[in-house]
Order: sequence, then structure tokens, then C-alpha cells
Amino acid sequence: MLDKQVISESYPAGAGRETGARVLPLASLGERVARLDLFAIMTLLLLLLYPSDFWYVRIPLTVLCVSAFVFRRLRLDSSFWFVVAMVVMAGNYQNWFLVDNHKYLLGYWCLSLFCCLQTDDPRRALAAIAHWLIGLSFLFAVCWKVVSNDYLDGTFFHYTLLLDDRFRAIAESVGGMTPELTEANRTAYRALVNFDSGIGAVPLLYPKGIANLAWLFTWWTLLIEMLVAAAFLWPAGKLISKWRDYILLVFILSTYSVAPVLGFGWTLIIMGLAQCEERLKYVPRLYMLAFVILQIYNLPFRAILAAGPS
Amino acid sequence: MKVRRLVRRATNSVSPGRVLIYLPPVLLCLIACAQIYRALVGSLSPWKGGGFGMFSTVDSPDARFLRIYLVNGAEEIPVLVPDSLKTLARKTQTVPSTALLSELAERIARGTWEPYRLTHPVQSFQAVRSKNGADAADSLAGLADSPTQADYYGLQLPPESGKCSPDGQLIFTKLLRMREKREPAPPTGEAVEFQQVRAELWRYRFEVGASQLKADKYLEVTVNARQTGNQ
Repeated sequence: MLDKQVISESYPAGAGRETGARVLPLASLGERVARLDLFAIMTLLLLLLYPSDFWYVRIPLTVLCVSAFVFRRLRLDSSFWFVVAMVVMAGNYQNWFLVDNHKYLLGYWCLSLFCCLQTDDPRRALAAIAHWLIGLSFLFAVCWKVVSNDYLDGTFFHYTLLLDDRFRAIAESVGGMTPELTEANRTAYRALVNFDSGIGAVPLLYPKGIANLAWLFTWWTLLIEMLVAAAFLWPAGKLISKWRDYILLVFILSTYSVAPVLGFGWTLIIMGLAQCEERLKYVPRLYMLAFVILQIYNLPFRAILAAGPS
Repeated sequence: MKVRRLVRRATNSVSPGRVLIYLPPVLLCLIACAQIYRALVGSLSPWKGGGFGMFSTVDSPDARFLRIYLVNGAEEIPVLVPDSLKTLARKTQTVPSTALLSELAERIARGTWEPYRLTHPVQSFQAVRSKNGADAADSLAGLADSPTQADYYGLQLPPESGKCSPDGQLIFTKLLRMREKREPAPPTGEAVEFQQVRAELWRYRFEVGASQLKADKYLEVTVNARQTGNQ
């Protein structure tokens, strides 16, 4: 299975099989290979820019990714993606209690690149896998929110808006929090969890706007995640599944503007792009645009605005 | 025989590549279902384990925190988890169990605990330069401590809480650290005595009605410090 299975972009139309190369459908062969190469490049970027916290994962992956950037042939080599997938998944296995969920998704995605290169039509196989991975991951995310005992009543986002640094900007600009209230809450939090604390409870302070914002976040997140899950798990081309790309893009652009977990965002964009139908002309460009926009979200807007024109 | 022929025909008609495309989604489902089971039946935090339960509950590993005490008779000294045990502590927070908490407590009990020292780089450097050989080493190790009241960057510590060595080290007698492997032994008599280690795992929840974070003790273990590491 791991013997050389390399897609050759220089494969002449109508030529038969050769050792070490797979035949792709003759029409648009070059375009399909170029698209696979694009997904491979985006995945390599993701692996390089959002590396693992563990050196024994980060260093091998860096070497592999740089090699694949230098040697183009590696990017469409199934053995290469098998090794990458195994390194990512071994790191996840070793540190399962530490790694975030998107690292698991990244492992499945690298495995998908290997699996698709075992088929006669890798592009189509990758689209099918991406479709399932997105749908299932959102289905499980929705299940957790429904069964959780502190999500549907708004408690989770209430707490998050008060104490999660990633939500501080929106809590202060929209929720009515002030820096003084934020600092008071952080002081209370530190007093509770400090190693020498004997305190059992601390009060948190917030204006009424936080409750409204928490309610909005709770239901918006649940709704958009349910829509993504439904759109990707529904049979293709029917009802809501026709809108799946737009729904996923709305999720990505809305969610990661507030909570910039860019590694997760990029993984979803690459998978979204991979499953996107080729006949849709503008949707792939929207995914590419989102790929860039997520980086813009990361700009330190507060510092830039505070600095003002020099 | 018929069944065997049917199976052979089925396996021949399905290419391995076609089967492989189901591998990533099936793997995702298996791991997510196992995570949901462990979180709902056991103690695993929904945030971890590959089940996509992040941003669904306050109960993340950060909401579970440790309180650890060195017990010496009636005295209990709270201590920080040393760097070398941070991974074990994190695992205990993510998937708490008595076994993990006991292992953490036992490893803490095996360690040598000593007062935390804050070193002033300039004063330490000057102390080394002005002295030679063993004198300098003794000074850095705190053997030449004087019982004077500490004054460090203007920080005044009461004598019972801290003191300052002549080379500019501020020694916090109530803030302890565990000596890591390969570190030189602490000055004689400076290792802290204790008979037991008590480790507690607490978990907080947010009560919207009362507008408060409320913590409850989730697990507690006490182990004896029978090893010779502490003196």
C-alpha cells in the first residue's frame, strides 16, 4: 500500500499506467493535480505556522514540511502523507489529555491526504472525506452543547465573557464591561485558584449587557453549528446541503473574529475548499479569502487604534 | 463454502482505496464516542480527548485546580506544583482519579523542599567576583546568610517571612520550591521537614444567579513522606 503511488502532473493524456504513477480521469487532469497540490501546500502551511507544542512532533514535521516545499513531488506522494499523519497522530496519542480538538482534526486530515492518494480519483475521494469530517466534527460539537449542563442556560458564555481573555475585547466593546470590572474579576479568579488560597467562592461583577451578549452567543453558536452539521451530513445537492459552503464560511468568519483559534479555522477552510464542487466558480475564492482574513483578525487592533496616527 | 465465495467476491470487487476513504471519518467517530463515554461516565473534561466538546462547558481542565500542602504536625504549608510535575498535574486536572492524584502527591513527597530564593543578578555577580573559590560558592548557596531584615528592590519582608543573604539573595522562608534533579543540595538545615503531603483537587463552577465562582473539593489524598529525600 505504501509503495510509490505518486500522481504525475506531466502524465500525457491517453497514456497507460506506468510504474509509480496513477492514472487520473483524463479531463482536467492538470487542473485536478494543481488543486490537490494547493490543498497539500495549504496543509503544509498549517503544519508549519501552527506547530505542535511538543518538540518530538514539531521538529520532524518541520523537516517534512520544508522538504515537501522544496521537492514538489513529495506533496503528492501518499507515503509522505502517511508519515506526516503518523507523526501528528502519535503526538496526539502521547498527549491526548493536553492537545486541543483541532489537532485531532488535523491528524485525520493528514490521514485523509494519504487515503485519497490510494484511490483512482484522489480529488473526489478527498472531497468525500472532507465532507464527512466537517459534518461529523460539528455534529459532535452540537451534541456536547446539548448534553452539557451549563451551556443551554447561557452559563458557559456568561463565564467566558467575564474571564476568557480572547473574549475581553467584545465583552468591553459590546457587553459594557469596563477595564476596572475585568480587572476586579481577574483578581477574584486569581484569589480563588492560587495555590495558597483557602477561599471557596468569589463574586464576579458585570453589567446587564453581558447577560444579553451571553444569550446571543449561546444561541448563535448552537444554531450555526447545527446548520453546518446538517448541511454537511444531508445528502449532497438537496435542501440545506446546497448552501453548505456559505454556511461554513459564515461560521468561520463569525466565530474566529471573536475567538481567533486560527489553527482550527485554517483546518476547516482547507477541508471546506477540498470538498467544494468544482463547478462553483466563486466559492473557492471565498475560501481563499477567508484563509487570509483569519490572519487579519489576528492583528492587534486595540494596540493599533491606541497608538493612533504617528 | 458459499459464504466464503461471497466474501471473496465482495473483497475482490471493493478496492482497498475505496475502503480507505472511510478510515478518517470512522476514526473520528470512534475516538469521539470513546471521549463522550469517558466524559459522561468518568471524570474526563469535555474539552479534551477529541470529542469536540470545547466551548460547551465551564468544566475545562483550567476549572479544576490543585491545592497541595506539606503537613508538619499541626502546620500546613501550601506549595506550588514544581515544573517537573506540571504534565502529571495537568493530566490529573483533565482526567482526575485517585491514582493520578496519589502519584502526584507521592512524587511531591519524595522531593526535597527548600525556601524559594530570589536572586539579584548584579549583586550575585559582584559577590562572585569579590570572593574566591569556596567562599563564593558558600555565599551563593546562602551559607553566609545574615539574619538581617530583607530589603530587595525596596521590598521589606518581616524577619519571620524572609531574610536576605549578603550576596543579595532574598530567601522566602514560607514560599517553598522543590529541588529539581541535578541541582546542588540545599544548605544544611534549609530543607523543610514534613511528615505528609495532602493533595486536593478542586473544581469550580459559575453560578449565574449568585454571580459567583464557587469551588468544591473533588478529590483529596494524603500520603506519608516516608522517603529519605526530605530531612
